[in-house]
Amino acid sequence: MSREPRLTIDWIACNGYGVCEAAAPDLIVLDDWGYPILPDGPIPPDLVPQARRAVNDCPMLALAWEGDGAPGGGRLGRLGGRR
Amino acid sequence: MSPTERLLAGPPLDGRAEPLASHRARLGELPTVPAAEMIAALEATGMLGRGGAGFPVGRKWRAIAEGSGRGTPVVVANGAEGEPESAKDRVLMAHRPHLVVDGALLAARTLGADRVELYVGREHSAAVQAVRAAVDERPAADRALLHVVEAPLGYVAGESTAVVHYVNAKDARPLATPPRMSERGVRNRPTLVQNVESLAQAALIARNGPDWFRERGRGANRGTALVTIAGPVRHEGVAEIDLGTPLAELVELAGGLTGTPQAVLIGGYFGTWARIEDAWDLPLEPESLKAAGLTFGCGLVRLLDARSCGVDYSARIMDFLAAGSAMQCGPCKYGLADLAGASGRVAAFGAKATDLIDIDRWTGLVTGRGACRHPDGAAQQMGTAMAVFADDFASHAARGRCLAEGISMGGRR
Repeated sequence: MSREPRLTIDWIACNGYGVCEAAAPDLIVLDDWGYPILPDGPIPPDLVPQARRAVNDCPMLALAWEGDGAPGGGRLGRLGGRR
Repeated sequence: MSPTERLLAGPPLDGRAEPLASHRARLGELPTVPAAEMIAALEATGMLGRGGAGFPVGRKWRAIAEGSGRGTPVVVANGAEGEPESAKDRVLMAHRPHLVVDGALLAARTLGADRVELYVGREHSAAVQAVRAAVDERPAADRALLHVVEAPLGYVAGESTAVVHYVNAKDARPLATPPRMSERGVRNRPTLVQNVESLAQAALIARNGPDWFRERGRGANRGTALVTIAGPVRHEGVAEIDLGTPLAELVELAGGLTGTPQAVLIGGYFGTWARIEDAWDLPLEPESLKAAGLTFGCGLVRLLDARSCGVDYSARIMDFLAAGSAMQCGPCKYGLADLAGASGRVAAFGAKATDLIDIDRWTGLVTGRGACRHPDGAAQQMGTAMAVFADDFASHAARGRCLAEGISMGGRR
């Protein structure tokens, strides 16, 4: 996949559980109300594993890869499933 | 008012709707224009949507005509007008309902739609009545297409995905996008959600062509537009102006000042504040306003008198918009509530030490973080108020004193 991977969020689905921050502490911080602040640009290659964890762990399926799917293919990414 | 009105030309605006016979005698039948030609004409006008977001109308129609959505398109004429101080859509619908219906039918014919939803704010009873009566006056073939839907109360009920959600499921809360409405909207079909003034303009463009449309106007965006002027002027209300008319001229058109304005809110409750001296000569036209960091929005021009408190006014708007959140997205639900709380405390001389800093930070934090643009608009109003009324916010917070004339300490709420 040539396109740089980016994260997107369904704000209606997000309930602010904060699981994403725990899964991707170098990418995601929570705002004053507990909702994630996503990185502006594409996900740097070395942080893709963290981003993948955050997407896979989101209990509301609110966090997702922008566009067609995870870098490496498939909704859950190259490794599939949970860690 | 201007002798060269277009949308509002015809019988006097005395609360009565223009009947079909008069409408036809004045303007003739809606002409049959080939779809490609009609869309090209709209593009050639450069007209931006008049609901507030200002999306190019021609491009919106083309997206549906050439889009990948499946099924027969649906047209929604958006006359919700939940903007409390704007009256232009309700005045247009109440007095010129057939122009709006013409525009909606034109869109349906151009896009091949088999269904038109006329979505009218239920609180605008004269408009609801006029539009219903206009539909009844139409021939059976048109009536078969036209459906009047009364929009529920609420600021967010006019947001385009909320409109579709309500028509589909009687739930006027915005939807997460994608899907785009141009691909999957009402009944999962490609849907044009277009403000009623934009549609009425299109009905005139079908008759007269894009060059005629562009004969009027003074700036980059051409044509005429409906605006609502409020505040210390002799005649508050709706006017049709050439886009690019300076604020000073609009004030003259409204009978002149009856007070001393200190600032102006342009574009609605999602809009932008400006100091009166900065705005006085500004052309009321989207491009020029944008260059000045302002927004045309829904065409509301709200002058604030020097004796009124801008801190209080903007805090009340914030309170209204916080309550108007659909409460679906966290940053909007909690962020706007906190913004309303903090600005309300400042306005009421009970600021916490962190309130001003928090307001500034939160306006940035809620922007771009919702399913719709409600938090963005609310933050824009608050942020520009903080800039324009900076001294007054500081005085309220630090000294418990209001700088507006005629307001004494503790004189609020």
